Amino acid sequence: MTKPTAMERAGIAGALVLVLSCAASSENSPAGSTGFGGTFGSGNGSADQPSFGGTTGAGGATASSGGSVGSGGAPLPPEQEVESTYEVPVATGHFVWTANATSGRIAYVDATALTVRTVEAGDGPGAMAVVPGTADAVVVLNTLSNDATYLQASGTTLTSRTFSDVAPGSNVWAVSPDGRFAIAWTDARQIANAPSTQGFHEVTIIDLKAAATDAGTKTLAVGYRPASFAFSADSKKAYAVTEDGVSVLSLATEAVVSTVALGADGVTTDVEDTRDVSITPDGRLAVVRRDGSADVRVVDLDAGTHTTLTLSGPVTDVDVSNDGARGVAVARDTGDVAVFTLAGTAPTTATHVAAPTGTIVGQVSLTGSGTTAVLYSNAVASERIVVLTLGAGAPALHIVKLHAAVLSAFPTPDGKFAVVLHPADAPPNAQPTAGAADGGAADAGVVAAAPLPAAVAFSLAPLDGTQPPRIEMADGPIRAVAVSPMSDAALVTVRDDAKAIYGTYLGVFPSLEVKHAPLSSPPIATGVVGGAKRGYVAQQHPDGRITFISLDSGDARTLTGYELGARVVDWSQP
Amino acid sequence: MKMSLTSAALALGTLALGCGGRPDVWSRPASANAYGLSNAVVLHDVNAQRVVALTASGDGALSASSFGTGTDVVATAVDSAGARLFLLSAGHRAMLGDTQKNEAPALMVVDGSAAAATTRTIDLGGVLSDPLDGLALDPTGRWAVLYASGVHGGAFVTNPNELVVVDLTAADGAPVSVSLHSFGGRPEKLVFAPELSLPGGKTHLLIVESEQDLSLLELDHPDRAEITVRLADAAAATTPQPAEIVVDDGDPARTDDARIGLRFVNDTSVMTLQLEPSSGANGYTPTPNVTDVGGVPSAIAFVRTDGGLRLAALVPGHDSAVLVDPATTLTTTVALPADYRSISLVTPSDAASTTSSADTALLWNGDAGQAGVAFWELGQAAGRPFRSLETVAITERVTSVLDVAKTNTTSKVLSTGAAGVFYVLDLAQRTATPLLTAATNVSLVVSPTGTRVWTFAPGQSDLATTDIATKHVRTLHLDAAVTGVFEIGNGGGGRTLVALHALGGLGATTLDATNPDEDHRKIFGALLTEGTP
Repeated sequence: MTKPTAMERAGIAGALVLVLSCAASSENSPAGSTGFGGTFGSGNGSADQPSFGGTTGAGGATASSGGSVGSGGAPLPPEQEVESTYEVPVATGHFVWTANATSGRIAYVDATALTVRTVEAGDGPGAMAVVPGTADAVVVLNTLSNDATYLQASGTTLTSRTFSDVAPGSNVWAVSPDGRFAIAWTDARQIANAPSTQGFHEVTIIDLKAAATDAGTKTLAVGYRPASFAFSADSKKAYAVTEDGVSVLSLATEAVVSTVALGADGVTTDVEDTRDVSITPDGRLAVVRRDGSADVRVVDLDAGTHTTLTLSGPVTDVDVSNDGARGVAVARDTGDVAVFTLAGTAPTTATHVAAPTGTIVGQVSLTGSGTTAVLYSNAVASERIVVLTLGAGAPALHIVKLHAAVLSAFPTPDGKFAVVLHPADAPPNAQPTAGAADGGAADAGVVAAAPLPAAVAFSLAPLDGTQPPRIEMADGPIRAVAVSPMSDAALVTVRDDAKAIYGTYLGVFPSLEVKHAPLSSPPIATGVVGGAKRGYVAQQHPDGRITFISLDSGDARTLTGYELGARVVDWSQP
Repeated sequence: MKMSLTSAALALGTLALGCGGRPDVWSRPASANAYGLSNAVVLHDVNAQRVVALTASGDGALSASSFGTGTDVVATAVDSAGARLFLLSAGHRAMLGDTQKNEAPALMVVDGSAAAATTRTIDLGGVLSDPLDGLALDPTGRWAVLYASGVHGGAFVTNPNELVVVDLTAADGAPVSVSLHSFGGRPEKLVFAPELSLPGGKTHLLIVESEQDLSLLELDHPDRAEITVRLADAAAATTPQPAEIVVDDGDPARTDDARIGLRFVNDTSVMTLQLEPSSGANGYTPTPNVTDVGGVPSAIAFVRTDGGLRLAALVPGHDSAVLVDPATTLTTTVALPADYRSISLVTPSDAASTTSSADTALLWNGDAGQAGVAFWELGQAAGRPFRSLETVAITERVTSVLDVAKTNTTSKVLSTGAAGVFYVLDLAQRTATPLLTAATNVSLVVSPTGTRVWTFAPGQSDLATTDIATKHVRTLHLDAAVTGVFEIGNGGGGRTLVALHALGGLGATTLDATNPDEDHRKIFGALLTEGTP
């Protein structure tokens, strides 16, 4: 799938990483919604299905039908996806790279030998992205000098190249699958209080393999406020998902060749909701979901045509497999799960299955293999996840019962296990909050996203149901989850600033063993370096600090002051 | 032990006779620096360019052997075993018409470990045109390192980063000149690491500390380029200045876990350097880690706890110690009963046979009036990161801890400076026996055998010996003021005390050190004026 996931933002190769934000993400909340809930109260549903978010207003959609557990007419709050709020280090096959905007240096740590080296970047290095390919390479944005530095490490040798004339204000990267093109663009969501007159149209295409005599950069204008980028499988086209539609860029000619509308009527002037658009890896199709709509629209970006799949209720989430072969959409209120194929053409039909009785499914997370999906809801305190098996035959669903409410789930790439996060137990007599947060009358029909409760426990759940999940109470709020690309381990990182509790839990599959490694400073990013079989947790420290966790033994090794480490000079080395 | 002696009486006498054709040396005051070796007291007669080695027979009679030294001795040192005295001489450059012969810099070794003192001289002329004036000795006794201390002024041009490594096991010393790479700093302190298990095998490192970096040089391969650890770069506003360096070999079976620990002046962070495998010629590379311990530490030490190796840092002002896990940089703060500033490991030598592998540390130099010393057992008990913390109530501030060798290794002698009291600390019983002195500012000399401690007040004629095991004190009254005390082995297999006096051309009184009896004392005079004893 090509939806801008946390993994892609972080550019962490081979690892599934999620840094949980403190505040609720409002990604899927209706625009202009008001009021906040915020209790674990029993809500208007059953006492054992309390709402996480509380409700405001009355009427609107209900959560009762299609075999799902209903809530008796009161609307449920929106599903909330959780995404990264941090600029994080990135990991390539053997190295972890991190930028120091103050010193202007990039430190790169050999995750096997744990040796640190540094290299000067431009002025104010910030956003960094992995450049796919066989080499350990990254590209970094230098925000003050408006240029970019390409770095490639091979053993102890590092090569670099600087590309100038990057569009000012760029803060995000998108890199083509073949590692040749990098696009620097501005994500407006990272800029506080940006006026509507700022369109952030400028994007800079960098040809990382350009001849030395070629500047290698070209700045273009795409639609209003791009939200994500995708590439065609052959890296010849890039797609900018903007509020004006999808801007199609030819990387060969470095030009915008078309803009494809995503609106219901195919008109570019339609108000676009760009926050849930997935583009298939081949760049052919865009899968569009809009809040409150029962339709999933699939747009052929080459032809400019579209088809519509209609579910039985408002679609609350849609996901596309990594290979782009299929997609899964869920309508929480009706318990409708739609599976559709995306084999090169826009689908016209979907296979519908009903969520099992007693479950609510508002979110879907397809595994890397695309053969398994985890369905769940964090709009209610449900202690179940639903596993959707997508084999050659008909889609099959089964329930995995957990021992605490589900906040989010992170399946392993092989689809055999998942890390499921849980909040603290609900207060015994909590009541739902009614009315608007300002005390005034609630807006009819509006259900607002409330801050998600912090995750304080997690389960390691076998998805085939042959083994009961293991639940583990963490010693603080869980801030990040990283799943090994080998599907054999996961890191769950905890940060409690008030109590100065920091640590990471290593969960091991299939044994479900959990090992704890305390940390000495606040974690800011978690990931896995697959080539070294080590997880890492970057931490706040004036000199830089990173802890590596062996995925085999759980042994922790912390490097602090890695810019100091780079000042070690072995004069016997050439 | 070194003591400086000058005979005023002899000076007057020689001044009166100071004319005629004798060498000038006979016209100068007799003065000497005294050094105690295993079986000899060596007097370095600077003016006469010689050393006089005094050895004792079984009955306390002294014999003197005189050996000429090189010209212009700029540095002296006794090895850690107390067996040899090293004298580094600058030599002399003869000019046209000069009556003194040309002489190369040299390192003279006086061996006082046998019944008769012997000497050897290592010619440094092949590696030094101008002398270096600093001398440091490896505790294992294998290497001597010469460096430019700057105390005696330099040559016309001096490279302060030049070292000369002398292999004392080689007949000619095989001196090797090494010029350290420098980022502008110059050596300020040399630290010899204990033998370390590194990827390349057993290695002896010389850690050269400058004001802005550390250099790690393999003494086993002085021709191999060193590794420099820059403590700050050009962009840094401040440069952490090292205040203390400690070294630990880690698990003897591993070659990747040796560590160097550092604390800095006016810096709340401590640093560890783990010496890990590397593809360079040295075979290892240091990986730094820094940890803030919450205050400027006054002392650090590597200690073993039930949880593994830790770097312990005493943090004055916080009444606490901080244990740093060098692998994870996690810290554990341990509240202490006082503001201790110094730490010494006093783990029993048979600790390996006990169930716990944790160290015991002695904390001292605490706040006056409350601190005493504390035994800190670094095992772990339920709910706390140490097994016990036991204070021994000494009211005076302990200013130094003297080790006791051989027979009483479970004891320490605690000096309180000018407080008029010292203590014999029993590490096993956790007791501290106070021993009061009528005089203040006394000097304490622990016998090399560890059986007793000698006490004297420079300039006074009283002397006392205290049996460390029984705490029995015996006071002795000598005939002249004592300026130095040395206990040496004698030719009869016993022990002889040599008390030096600064009169009569330097004199000495000898006593049976094991059973001192004033009635059987022997007095010697004019030790520097030939003919005696």
